[in-house]
Amino acid sequence: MTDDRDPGLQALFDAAPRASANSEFVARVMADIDRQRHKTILGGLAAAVLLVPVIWWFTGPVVTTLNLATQLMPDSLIEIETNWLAQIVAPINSVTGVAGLLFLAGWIFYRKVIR
Amino acid sequence: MSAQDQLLGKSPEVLLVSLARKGDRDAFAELVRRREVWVRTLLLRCCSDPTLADDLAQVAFMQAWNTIGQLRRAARFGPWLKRLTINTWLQHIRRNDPLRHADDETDAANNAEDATSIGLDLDEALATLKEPVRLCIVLSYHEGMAHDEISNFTGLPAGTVKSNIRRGAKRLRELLAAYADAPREEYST
Repeated sequence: MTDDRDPGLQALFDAAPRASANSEFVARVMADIDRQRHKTILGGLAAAVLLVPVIWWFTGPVVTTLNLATQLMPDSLIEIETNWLAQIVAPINSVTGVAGLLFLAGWIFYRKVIR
Repeated sequence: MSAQDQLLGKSPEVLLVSLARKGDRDAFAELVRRREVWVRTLLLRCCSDPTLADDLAQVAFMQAWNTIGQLRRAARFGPWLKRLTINTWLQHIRRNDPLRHADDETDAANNAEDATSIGLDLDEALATLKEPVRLCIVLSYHEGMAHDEISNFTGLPAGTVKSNIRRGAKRLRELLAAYADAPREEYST
């Protein structure tokens, strides 16, 4: 590929004046950056202020739900009377096991289908 | 000017970029000071409108500030900023009608005869070109970039870049024919 340029046209481009240095432009860019930084800080503060009552309201129910879930986790889903069989299927015969399997299935679905 | 500003003014660009990556506002201001003429001129050649060029340059520098942390090698700041500037211009033309100047060719040709300033003439002539053609011409003649480099920057196929430059140069030669007769030292002052 040749990159030959027209010399006459190149001379015109070389002779064309460049934009002159403008200290106001620099000040404007930096003012915009400061404005953006202030916006980010104010946005973060506003989000924090809004989150406090939300956390306050939801802490009770969330802790109760987690406690309940924790208590349910080791419970067997199906009662198996044969002792050795109950021990073999124990990893999947519980709320934890089913939750783990569901999570794994969801992850595989995400990797293979969605992503 | 404070002692810190003087120090930053003498610092190599690589150091300024490293400081700016860590969020040093003053170092970034010095980078803007050093690069603003280049960025604004490049955008002026692209859009032929000094106000729009300044606005777009401001957007480009804002993006540079927001993403400078992602720049891995400080020494690559120049090409990285050039890419950001060109992307800013490309985003602008995608948002606007890219053919808005395509019908102004006759007016610009007439104006070119009366204009006295070469910069204005050149910008007016450039404004008559379609956006992709103009961008290729500016990157080739103003920035001195090779065709494959332009192709890499703009995402246009190499063949398209070549034909854009050939077509654009032909059009500019027609519009700026008056300068072809004048001795070069006459318009270089």
